[in-house]
Amino acid sequence: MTEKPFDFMEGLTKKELIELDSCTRCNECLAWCPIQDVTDDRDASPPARIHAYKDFVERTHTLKGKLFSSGKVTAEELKSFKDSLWKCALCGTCGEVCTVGIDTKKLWWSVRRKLKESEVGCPEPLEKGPLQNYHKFRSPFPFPLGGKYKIWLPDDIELADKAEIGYYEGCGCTWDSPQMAEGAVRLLSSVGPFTMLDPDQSWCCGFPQLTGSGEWSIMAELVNHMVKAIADKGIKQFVISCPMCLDIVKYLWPYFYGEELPFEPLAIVELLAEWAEEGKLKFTKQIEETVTYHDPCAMARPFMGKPIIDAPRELLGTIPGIKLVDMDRHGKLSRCCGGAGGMRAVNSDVSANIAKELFLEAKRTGADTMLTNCPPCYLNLATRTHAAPNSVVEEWRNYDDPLKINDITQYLAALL
Amino acid sequence: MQLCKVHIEGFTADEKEVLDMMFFHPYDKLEEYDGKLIMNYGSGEVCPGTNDFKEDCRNCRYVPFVVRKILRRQENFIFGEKPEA
Amino acid sequence: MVAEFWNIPKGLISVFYVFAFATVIIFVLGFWDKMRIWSKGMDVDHELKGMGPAGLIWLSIIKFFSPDCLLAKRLFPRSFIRGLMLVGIMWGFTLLFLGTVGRSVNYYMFQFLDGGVWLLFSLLLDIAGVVVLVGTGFGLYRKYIGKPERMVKSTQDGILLSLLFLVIFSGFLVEGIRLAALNPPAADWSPIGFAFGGVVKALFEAKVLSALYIGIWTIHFLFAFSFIAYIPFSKYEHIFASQISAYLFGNKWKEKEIPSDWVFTEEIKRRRDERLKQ
Repeated sequence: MTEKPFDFMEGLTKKELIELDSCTRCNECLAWCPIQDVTDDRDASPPARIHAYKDFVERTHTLKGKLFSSGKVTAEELKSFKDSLWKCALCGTCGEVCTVGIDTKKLWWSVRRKLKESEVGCPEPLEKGPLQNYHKFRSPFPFPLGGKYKIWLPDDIELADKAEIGYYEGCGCTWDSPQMAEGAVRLLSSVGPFTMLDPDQSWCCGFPQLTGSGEWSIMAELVNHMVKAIADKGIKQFVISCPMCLDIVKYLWPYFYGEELPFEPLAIVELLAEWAEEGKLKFTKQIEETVTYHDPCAMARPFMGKPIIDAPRELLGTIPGIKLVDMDRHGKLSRCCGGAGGMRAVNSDVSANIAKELFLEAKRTGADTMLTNCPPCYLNLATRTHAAPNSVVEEWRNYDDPLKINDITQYLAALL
Repeated sequence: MQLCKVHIEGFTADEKEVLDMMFFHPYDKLEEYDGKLIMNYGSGEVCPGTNDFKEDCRNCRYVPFVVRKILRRQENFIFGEKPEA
Repeated sequence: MVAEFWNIPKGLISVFYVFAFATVIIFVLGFWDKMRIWSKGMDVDHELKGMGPAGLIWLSIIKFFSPDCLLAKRLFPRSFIRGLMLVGIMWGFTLLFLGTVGRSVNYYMFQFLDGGVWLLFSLLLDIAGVVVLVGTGFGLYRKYIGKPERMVKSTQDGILLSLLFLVIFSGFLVEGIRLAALNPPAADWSPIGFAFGGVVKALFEAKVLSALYIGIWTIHFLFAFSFIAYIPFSKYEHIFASQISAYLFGNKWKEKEIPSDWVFTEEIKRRRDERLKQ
């Protein structure tokens, strides 16, 4: 009995199949791709990837493939395609600059999901790490959730039992950038009561499994659990620090929930900008600084949602003494930090070098501080790439840099 | 940004558990000696003792809260590498 | 004066028709196969909901004539010169295509290309041709001489561009030789063809020209047919696909109640539906 050959087309949408045929190989994206900035690996570029996958589909499904090719995709071909596919931080700049509007960010995601289903699977560090951890702990990190607030929740912050405003840091904040979560709760508590989910109820949003490993089967259970837990706390506004969580919660959860969510998910910067505008957010300390803001890709080019580009700038604009200068590449075309998409685990040296490029660009603005608002950005920049090999970290240390890196909420919490 | 290598002592078993949970990246593993811990946060550069907000370790925002809490109880600060035996 | 099949032996004309027929068959087969593949994708995108091959072809045609596509709105902000070249090729090629349709109607069905209309028609197609020639020439220059610093190597791309360039170039040669030989009174309404004619006339004797004409005419139709037949099997498929992607990308951030353009496995859908039933 022969095994049924892997179906490269099953589960791709019409849009994605059309996109595979849309690429003109104009090479525009290569000029913007952070991977291409730091490597010469042209196989790990959007046109090469699209061409390869289109070829897989054609070989196995079209007339041309049946007549003029073996009709099969070899394991080696799949393996090298997989290497190319995971040499990507899913920053989505390629889609933003694409001259024919290919939604690459989503396309890579879907194709990763396909590869996860195939014989080659997702890269081992992602399979063994985040995915196994999720099944065990309901978070991509290898620890029980129960103790997570102990890392960063200050003793002097009081949580309401139930409140209209609920805060969700996202596991990336807890384990990678706890400073972000602390800053956020300090700002929230300065204005009024808020609540959080019980730590062991506060599961992962699903993002790392979906994008990193391409595992989708966990979502239904996850969403049902979370929506119920949030509703039980009486939360109306679900404020999220991690922009990747926000994208998933706001735009993907409703699909799995099957109807509109009983609460409004929003980014912490959006709420703070609103409060600052209304004069609710009061700062006691003064500051005189030039800052630059790095738009995280999850905010500037989200998978699904609307870009959040103005809110952080409006927020900073309300504080006298802060002068904002933008980098050459900002907003929808902001540079990649190299921290997301499973890159840190799979290609840590590439990830670190991409972070370096962003750091150098921020330095060119002459700002005193670079602010951002995303756990992988903060982690990859501020702590100079935890997972990077020594050779790269060594180079980082040798920079003579007056540039400080901080998270926007942590930075503002210092002014309370 | 401030990367530190501060020695932590006098923590409870519960706090140790949280610390272990916190520092698991290959480059910020805790070093243990004589019942104390050395924090290797980030790339392990030695902090001069105050951060760019002029905060000392007890109040340093770059340090996770759980560490600050321990440091506030702690009398002595030692920075840097493990002392020579 | 319209001169179809001037100076072409009857036998060769039959060969031409055989090739034309084969080209159409190959194109239609390849194209239909592509549309079949597209329409087999999961039916979750709002904009493509329920569309079969015919619907997708229709959408592709409508979106081709949208300003976003005809004015290359996504390319211009990236590079003005490349935008100009693409628009040139796109408009020029569309005109040439419509022109060929017009000439076929004129030849096989009813004659309308006479007098002033014919002169204007000739001028327009000459301009369209030269615009495509310059556009593809620029493309070849960028690919082989200017070379962007980062480029994905592809032999197919070179073949495709050269083929398009040669189709137009040989077309002008054919026109030039014919104009040079017939010397019709209003030849200067086809200025580019006329100029080509001037050059060949100076280079070759009249006898050679006649043989040369048949040769180049054959090459021209072979190139043109291979180009057309190759479209659905090559990246030139983007002629039908790109306008749809660009349109969908433009819609991406318009807030939707439930984002449906996601991919879900059957298992997830089943569990979701079960939940909804409860």
